Amino acid sequence: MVNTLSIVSRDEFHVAAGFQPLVRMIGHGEAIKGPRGGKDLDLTYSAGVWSGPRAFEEAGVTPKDIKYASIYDSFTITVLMQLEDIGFCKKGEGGKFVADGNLISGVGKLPFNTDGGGLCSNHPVNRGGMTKIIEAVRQLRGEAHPKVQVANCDLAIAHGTGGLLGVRHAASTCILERV
Amino acid sequence: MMDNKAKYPDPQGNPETSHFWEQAKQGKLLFKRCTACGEAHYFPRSLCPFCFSDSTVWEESSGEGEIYTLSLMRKSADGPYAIGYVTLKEGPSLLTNFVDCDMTKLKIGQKVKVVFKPTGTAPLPFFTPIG
Repeated sequence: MVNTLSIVSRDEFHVAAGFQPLVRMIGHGEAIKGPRGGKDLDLTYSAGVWSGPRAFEEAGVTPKDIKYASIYDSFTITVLMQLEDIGFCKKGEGGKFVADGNLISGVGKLPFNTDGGGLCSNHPVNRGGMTKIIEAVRQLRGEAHPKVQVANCDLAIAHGTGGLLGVRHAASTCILERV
Repeated sequence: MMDNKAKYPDPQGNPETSHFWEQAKQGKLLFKRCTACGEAHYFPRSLCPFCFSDSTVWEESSGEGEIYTLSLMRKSADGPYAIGYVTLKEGPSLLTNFVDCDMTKLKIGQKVKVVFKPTGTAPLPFFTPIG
């Protein structure tokens, strides 16, 4: 059995424990989507179209401001749809966005899953979201691998979906800032 | 590629869906409509999923519709199978299997009709191409 734990605590405890620089969550959003009784079925978008904008609104930033993205990568289509739904590119342009190298740290606009993602880092069962937050925090602290550390990374996003994108699922987005 | 002769699970039913399964035994595919907001829905519920009214009534579907999208699983423990969504003529879309056909020839937009497959209890509604 795999368990994950995140600790949210007062700043002084983090400082005393040596966790610096501090990272705080400045925006978050959650949403669900299902077949809705079979009405107006549309599988071309996910609940990310709601969770993403909510998180950006609360944080007061836009997708263009994000320096690093952790996005849950259960399948190729999952990442493509999330890039579009959260607003990093237009609907239908996710494939081109990725093919142009935009997800490669040091090359593209949106360095992504620099821990190697679900295939090359790890995918704890039903807890894949935690690894996304871990790498986002590493990037914000400047503790990512030197080959993929994003320069002056002060704003990151962690986003994931759970359930089945084609049936019913949830999406969760959080925007993290280096304090 | 034809689908295999899979042994389908037995639907258990409950007070909310027992009428649906009883009618399935007569070869009828039912859905529900809300008389408060007018919306049709599938799978059938006691409460309308759109306005939460309990004024929902049974309607019989023509059993015809078209493929919204599909996925062909070429290998599985029980052999190949195809799943997908069918949008019924009456409006609601439902998740189903496609049977009694060459699954490699299934296409989005293709016209299909319901076909019931026996189980140990009530039969399950699947779909097959028309013509």
